[in-house]
Amino acid sequence: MTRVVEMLQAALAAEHATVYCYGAAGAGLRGSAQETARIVMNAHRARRDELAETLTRRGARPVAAEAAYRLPVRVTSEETAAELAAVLEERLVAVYLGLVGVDDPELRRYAALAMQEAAGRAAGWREAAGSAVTSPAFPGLPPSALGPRPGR
Amino acid sequence: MGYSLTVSVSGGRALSRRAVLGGLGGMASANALGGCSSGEGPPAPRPSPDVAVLVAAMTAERGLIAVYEAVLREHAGLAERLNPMLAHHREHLAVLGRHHVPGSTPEVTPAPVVPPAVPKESSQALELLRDAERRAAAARAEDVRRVAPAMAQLLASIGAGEAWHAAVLGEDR
Repeated sequence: MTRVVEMLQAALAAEHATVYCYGAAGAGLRGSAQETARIVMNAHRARRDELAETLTRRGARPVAAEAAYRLPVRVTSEETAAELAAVLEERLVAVYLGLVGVDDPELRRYAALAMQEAAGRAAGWREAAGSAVTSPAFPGLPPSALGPRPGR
Repeated sequence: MGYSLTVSVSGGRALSRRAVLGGLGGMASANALGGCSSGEGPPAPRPSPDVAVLVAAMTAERGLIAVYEAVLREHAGLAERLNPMLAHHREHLAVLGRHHVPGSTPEVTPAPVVPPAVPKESSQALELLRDAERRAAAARAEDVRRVAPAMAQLLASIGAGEAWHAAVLGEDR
């Protein structure tokens, strides 16, 4: 499996999980937040389909969705439902960062824009969850990646 | 010469170690910083796209810092809300600066950053910041096409941070 296919499959697998988990998030939300979750879930379905198509074009078989996924946040309230959505988006930021590392410049741009979209949504869901979490300075990058320059 | 993106990923992240290491595979080919030329005669430094993009990204960060500082001079009451974002931009500039070798081409004289006129209304001042963040994020998404994958990941992360800021600034409080 080439690296680009591997990164595309990772992004697709993450979008499958995101679509599934947004169902649970939406069920825990009310009113306009629930409507937002529905719209966002459809946007993730569209990303999922784009990624699957890109993989097919490259001669790879797109990874299938699992039957079920473990929710990273247990939904017990509207706040925890929003937190679940925030966590889903934050995970995607990190997953798409992997795709930014491929050799294909257009895929790099696609992934960078997907990261920005996910980051913007994460901000909105964090706000809705009432958590005062500000963004990390470098979303998606492990802190160790910003270490001192080797040899200095 | 190079990238400080030394990676050792601790557990619990969605990003696999392999993903990051693979992304940094560009390191080997990314030693174009500083430029070089092949062929006859003395080597003439040739700016690599990475250096030009890096310098432009640093200029953009200086510009954002100037806008935040100008807004804070006019609206001190926004400090609690804006200071974390201003701090991010200073971190962005510092990390980008670690990748820039002074004296590498193109020779950089930082352009004087002219702070913009800040609206008296705080909501409009926040809008000014939001627009600046959006423009910066859009520019970083274009940048990633032009640089080596490792540098692209750094710039993409910065762009995601700016998109996050823009979203936060767009919310009514």
